[in-house]
Amino acid sequence: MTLQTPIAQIFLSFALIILSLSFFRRWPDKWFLLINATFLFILFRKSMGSLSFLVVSLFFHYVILQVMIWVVNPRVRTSIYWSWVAITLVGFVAVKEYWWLTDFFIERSFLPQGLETVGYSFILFRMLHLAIETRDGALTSIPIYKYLNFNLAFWTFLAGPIQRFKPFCIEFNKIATTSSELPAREVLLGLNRALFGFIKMFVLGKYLANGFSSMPVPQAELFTRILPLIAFPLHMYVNFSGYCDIMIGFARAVGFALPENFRQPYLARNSLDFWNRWHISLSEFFRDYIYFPLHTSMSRRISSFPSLIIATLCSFTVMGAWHGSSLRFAIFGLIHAGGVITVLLYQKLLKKAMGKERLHQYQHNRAIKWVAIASFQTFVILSFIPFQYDLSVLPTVLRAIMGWGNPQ
Amino acid sequence: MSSIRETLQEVFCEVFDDPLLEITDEMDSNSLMGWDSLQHINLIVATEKAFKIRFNTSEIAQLKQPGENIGTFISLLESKFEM
Repeated sequence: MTLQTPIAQIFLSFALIILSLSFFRRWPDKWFLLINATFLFILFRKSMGSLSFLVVSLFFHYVILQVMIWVVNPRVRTSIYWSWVAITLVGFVAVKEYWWLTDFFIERSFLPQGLETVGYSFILFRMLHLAIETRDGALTSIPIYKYLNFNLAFWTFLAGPIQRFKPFCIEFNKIATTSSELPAREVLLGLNRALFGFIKMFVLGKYLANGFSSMPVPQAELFTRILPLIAFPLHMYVNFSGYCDIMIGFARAVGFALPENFRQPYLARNSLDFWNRWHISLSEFFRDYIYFPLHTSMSRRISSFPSLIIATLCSFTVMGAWHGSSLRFAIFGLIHAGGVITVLLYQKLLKKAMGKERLHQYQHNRAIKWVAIASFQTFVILSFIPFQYDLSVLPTVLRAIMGWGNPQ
Repeated sequence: MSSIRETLQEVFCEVFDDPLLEITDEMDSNSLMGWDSLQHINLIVATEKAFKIRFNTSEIAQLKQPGENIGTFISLLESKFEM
């Protein structure tokens, strides 16, 4: 369901109205679940088998979570957790058709194919988050309505932002219990943000999409050749941040705060800075649940720096691969891992050579800052090439950008 | 025997390479310069060694969340010794 379709706009308008009316507060969990179920029905109306698979998966995970809560022994809980991780990850790569991974182990004909898996990538995060928190004893109760609404909330189901369970419950309780009307200013600011998002997505986004609709041609002028490379990351930003603006704005209009996902990524001066500004809820998820545990457990045994390199490589490669089932997304992650490792090494060298005070002055120098931004944004554009083009056409594209090769 | 706060103070000075650093309850990863993801791990591992304890994934992540500060770090350490 794309947001420009009339059915999506009618759904969003109805959802907004129901969430704003006072009767919603009588049975908030049930009303919200009804809204989310309607959303799912619209989304999967042409593939009811996929919807059934999603519902069964959700209940399977819920049972596992309840068992983990019930088990007192932390070692048993950890064993259940790791078994769950293995089953879930194998299931995920199978239904999302990660052939470059599954082809090593199993024939494609044995795997389910053609399932509508929209939203699964984000459900995986929410499940992993719930499972880790339950295993560690940080979550001791997950009511069924909260669980379903957390996983199926229409404003985060398709593309985030990735919210954690406790903030979700806090925010949901706010809209469920507020007896007084929400200030008109808040509602207007929320709707204003959503409108801004619509403009970003459907005006600016469409315009930028024209910039990379055709393949680079070797005979064209340099700017025309590189235009698709510049337009693509810009389009990604405008489209995705626009979508987030719409959802954050809608949620805000009913008094529900969603986490921010973008903070001027085009001003990032290096890879570390970039991932603190681009798809923030995703980078925080990978930081908290892959990078931190991996780096900590290795640092307990080996020196900090090699463990940092290994943890960074693993985290970014998995993050890249999460974006799509083709190998090129893992390559995108690997390129950014290289960027982050380079920055860390460079900072280490600078600190050694300059000392703390001079390094601070260097980092706050305006000229250095703008040179760093310009250089790094060029790196971003280049890093998005494997994200944009399939590996089979990549050599042709690269030759065309360099001005080599025959006209297509 | 030194208190939790005193030992944590020593850990912070060592990890941030600043003998004059004085920790306060309100200090958090945004207000203390250099408390990035990498330094967070150094801090966690150094704290684990100093107190002979282990943090789990949720606790490590929790300490980097908005609203968490050195005050909550100390409370977490106290709760580990109460168990």
